[in-house]
Amino acid sequence: MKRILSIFLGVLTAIGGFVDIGDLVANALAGARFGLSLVWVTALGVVGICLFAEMSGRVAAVTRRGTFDLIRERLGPRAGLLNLAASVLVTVLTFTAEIGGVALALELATSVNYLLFVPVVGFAVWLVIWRLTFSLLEDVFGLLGLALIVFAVALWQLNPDWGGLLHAIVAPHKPASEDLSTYLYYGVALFGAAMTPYEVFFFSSGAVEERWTAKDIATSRVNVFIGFPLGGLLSVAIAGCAALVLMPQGIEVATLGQVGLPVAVAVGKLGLAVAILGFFAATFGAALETGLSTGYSIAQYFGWQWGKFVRPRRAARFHVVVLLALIAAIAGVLTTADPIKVTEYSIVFSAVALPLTYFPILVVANDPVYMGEHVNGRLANVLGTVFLGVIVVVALASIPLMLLTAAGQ
Amino acid sequence: MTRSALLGIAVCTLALAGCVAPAPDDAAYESKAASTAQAALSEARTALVAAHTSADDRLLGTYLEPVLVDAEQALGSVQTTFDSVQPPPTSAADDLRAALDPLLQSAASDVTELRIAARRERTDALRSTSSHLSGVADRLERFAQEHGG
Repeated sequence: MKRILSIFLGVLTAIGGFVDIGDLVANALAGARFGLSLVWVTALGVVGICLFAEMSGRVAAVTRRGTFDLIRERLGPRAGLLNLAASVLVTVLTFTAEIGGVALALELATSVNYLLFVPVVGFAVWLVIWRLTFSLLEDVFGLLGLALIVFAVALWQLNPDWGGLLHAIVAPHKPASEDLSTYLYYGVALFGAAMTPYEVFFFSSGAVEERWTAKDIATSRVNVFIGFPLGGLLSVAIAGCAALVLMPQGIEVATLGQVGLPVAVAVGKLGLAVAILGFFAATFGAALETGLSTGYSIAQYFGWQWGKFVRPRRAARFHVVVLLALIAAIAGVLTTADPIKVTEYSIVFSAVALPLTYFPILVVANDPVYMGEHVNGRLANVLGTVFLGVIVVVALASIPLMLLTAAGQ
Repeated sequence: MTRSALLGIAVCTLALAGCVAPAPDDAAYESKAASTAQAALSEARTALVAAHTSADDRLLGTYLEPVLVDAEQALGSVQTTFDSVQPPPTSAADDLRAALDPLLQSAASDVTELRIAARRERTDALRSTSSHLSGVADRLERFAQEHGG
């Protein structure tokens, strides 16, 4: 019974922890502008993140080592360093966007300018990372993130033509008023949002934090293959709400306030309050994940003691890296750069860095020296290779599309 | 000059080309005007949805104000950006500007009125200003459609 409850909790936190500021913004943007014609990209991204998260969780459970420790050993220090630099840059940019997202959620709850919250949010993030155990912070913010289910409730309350919605998903058509390049650019953004690299680092490092062994592989698979797709459905609900309420009005999403408006229209004040709680939990939880992921990546690469399973004094360099990343993220938001724009750029640059993240995971998961009997099967290898091809195409197309469309303008 | 320096210059030029949209002729200016009207429409309709939802007692007061402030700031930015574009020396361009500028000003002014009414918690003012803004938004929509937005 205890094991079933533990698995259930794991699935719930995987659902609630799936959506972050990138998913909120990208799905609302795409829904308001392209209806549900880009849901296929979200679905593709969810399949990809499931595939590679399962691999990274299995690698962590079998080797009990962090991803970057293995990347450096398997690919060598130079290739590993290139990987590290790209991943850390993208993760710190995402960290900045998440801190901004928390502050924006607080602004919507209080009407106080978000910039005033930034130092407080930064301190709170540091305090939670410093004081709370790994499993507690993962469970609390994962469960609170379930508040975003209110978008599914709102979609239902809007009483849409379900057949029409389904048709728009399975037979997608680019709106006639939009260029193909803009359509593809937002597709890249959605793909980057669904497959953000830090999610894999956090998932695999978390497996080491929670001392998973090969016996936990089944639990990991349940979390990934049930939790992530259900989390992906929340993304679709956000896009659906935007498509039904914002698109007919010609509203293009540029603020977090616009993302939540359909919930107010459909459910009213209580629903909106739950949505704000969901915004806060999703962005705060993701801020913890991105902050920790920065520390995990750098500490694992350099072979330092890392993690929250040891006292901070024993992992001092890891905590210093997390603190420095936090300071950089706070400074980034305090430049008054629009957090939503930062989010848009962070998910596109995530797409650029995707091959550097996922190629080494495929290599290690396919190496019998590390994995023994848990090495990738034929199906995992075929799917992993096909997805790696997709990821490379997306990465190569990202920057040209960004320049061609003036970042989706 | 090294190859990497040339490549850097090319990338910067492309990036800047994506950020800056000069209006060298009537067609480009008309396209700029249409996209400006579309952007203003988006902000005006955001304010309208928020105001209507609030007037129906379905929106938290703390939520309404930041949404209106964001829309107000965005409208100001849209207007400033459009006004900073040098129109081509033709009567068609002058006519376009003469048609769009008052709409932008009117939308910005109405959203400011909405923000003031929201802070004073005056639902009647929210409704009456929304009614006017709704007409302005419709005219912005027509403008955008007529000019290819």
